[in-house]
Amino acid sequence: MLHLTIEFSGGAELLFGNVKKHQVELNNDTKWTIRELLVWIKDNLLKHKPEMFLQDETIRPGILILVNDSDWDLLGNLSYELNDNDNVTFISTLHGG
Amino acid sequence: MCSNNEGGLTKFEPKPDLALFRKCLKCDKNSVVVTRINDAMCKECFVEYFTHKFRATIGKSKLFDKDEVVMFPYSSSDSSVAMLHLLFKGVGEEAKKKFTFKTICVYIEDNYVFESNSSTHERITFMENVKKSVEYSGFKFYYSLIENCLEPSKNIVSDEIAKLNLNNENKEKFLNLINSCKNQTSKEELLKRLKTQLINRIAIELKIKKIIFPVSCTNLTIDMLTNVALGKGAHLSIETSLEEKLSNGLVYVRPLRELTSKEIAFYNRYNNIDSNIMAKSSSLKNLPNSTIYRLTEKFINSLQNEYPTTVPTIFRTSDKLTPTDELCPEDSCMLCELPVDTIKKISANSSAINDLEYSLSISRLDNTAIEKLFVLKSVCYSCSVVLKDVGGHGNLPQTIKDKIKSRDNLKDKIKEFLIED
Repeated sequence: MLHLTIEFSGGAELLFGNVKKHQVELNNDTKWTIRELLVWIKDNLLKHKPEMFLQDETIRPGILILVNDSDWDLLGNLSYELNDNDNVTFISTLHGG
Repeated sequence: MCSNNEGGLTKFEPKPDLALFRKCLKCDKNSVVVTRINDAMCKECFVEYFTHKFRATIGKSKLFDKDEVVMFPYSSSDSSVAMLHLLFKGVGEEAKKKFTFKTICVYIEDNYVFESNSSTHERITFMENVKKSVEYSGFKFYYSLIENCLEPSKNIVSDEIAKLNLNNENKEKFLNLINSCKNQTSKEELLKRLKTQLINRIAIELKIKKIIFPVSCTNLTIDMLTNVALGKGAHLSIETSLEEKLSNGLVYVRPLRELTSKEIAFYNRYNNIDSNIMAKSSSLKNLPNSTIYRLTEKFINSLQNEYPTTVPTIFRTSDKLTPTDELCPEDSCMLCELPVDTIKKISANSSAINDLEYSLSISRLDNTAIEKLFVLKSVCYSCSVVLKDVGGHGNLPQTIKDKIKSRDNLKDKIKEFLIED
C-alpha cells in the first residue's frame, strides 16, 4: 500500500469538510502520479463542486501543490511519481472574501 | 561562424529529472521553491529573500517616522498572517535593524454575518480563535464587526470581544442592505467599500493616521484589471500605489506589494504559521465565474501558471501610470472616498461617461434618486453603477446619507449662482 499524508490549507480545507490533514492509503498495483491523485481526491475526498478544486484536468490555478514541502514546479508537476509516506500539501492562494 | 546552432536545429530535451537536483540560486543546498520568473531557492535563502524584500519596501521609501503608530487591519487571510509575522520579527530581538514604528491591529469580523444559521456564540468562538492565533505577536489588538459600518455613533471598535455590540438588529440591517444588491459583482464591491469606510472610521477613532494593508502584488494585479472592468480606470494608479494619501488626511501603505501570493503561501508554510489562516466559509459561495473579480482572478492565475512574467508585467505597467491632475481630492466619492471622475472637466476626454450622461438626459425615465446623485457628482462612475444596483437605499449607512444631504443643501444654496449649460 502507498501511504500518503494529504494536507489542505489557506482555505482549501473548506472544500474538504474543514479537515486539514488526511491520512490515506492507496493500492499500489499501478504507479501513482499527482495526475492520478487529483482524480482520486476529486472522487473520494472532495465535498464541493469540482470546479472549486480542478480546472481542465489539473489543479485550479491559484492552488499550490507542495510535495514534502517542495514546490511541485521542481518535481515535474502532474507527472511526479508519488512515493510511500509522501506529504502532499494543497495551499489555496485564492481570495477569501 | 559565430553561432553554436549553425548547421542544424538545437535538440530540445525534456528537463524534468534535472529539476530534482536543482541547486539553490544562492547556496549549494537543494532548492525547494521556484520564485520570481524561474529562480530556485532553498528554504533558508527563500525566507531571507522574502523578509529582505518586505523590509526593503518599507525602508527604502522611509514611510514611517520613529515611534509613529500605524494601524494594521488584520483579516486572518494568508497575506495578513504573513505580514503579522514579518512585523513581529521586525521588532523582535533577532532583527538586525528593528522597526521603530508601533503597530496596532484591528480585526473586523465579516464571516459569520453571512451565516444565517450561526449563533452569536459561534461568532464569538471564531473571534476568540483569531485572538489566540495572533497572541504570539504581542501587538495590541482591537476588534470590530462588519455591520458596524452602519453604526452612526462612535461606538464601533473595542479592545475586548465581549464588549462588542453583537445584537441581531444591526446584523439584519446589514444583511438587508447587502442582499438588496441585484448582482454579485455589486455586492462584492459594496462590501469592499463599506469595509474600507469602516477601517477609515476606526483609524480616525483611534487617532491613527497611517494604515498598512497586506495586499500582495498578485492581488493588486487582479484588483487593477477588475477596476478597469468596473469603470474605475481613473483610480487605477491611486489604488495600487505604495503610499496613498486620502483627502481626509489618512495614508494607506501597501508594504507587501512587491511579493506574490505564491511567495506568501510558501513563507507561511516554512514558518509554520499557515494554521493561523482562518478561511471564511462564505468564500465557498464564490464560484470561479460568479463575479468580475473572480473571473479576473481566474484569468490572471491561469496565465501566471503558463507565463510567470504575467503578474510582474501587468503590475509594472500600473506602476507607470499616474492619476490625472484634474482629479480633485476634495471632491471625493461618497462610497469609495476616491476623487470623483464624473466632473465635466475630467470626463471631457472620456467619451463613455459623456455618452452615458447624454443617454440619461434624453431618456424619458424619471430621475430616480441615484441618477440625481450621478448628476450631482457625489459619486464616481463605478460606484454610481454599484449604487444603482442597491435596492434599498434606506439601508445605506447614515454617514453616506448625511453626505448626500449636505451636498444637496450646498447645491441648493449655490443654485442661483450656477450657470446652466
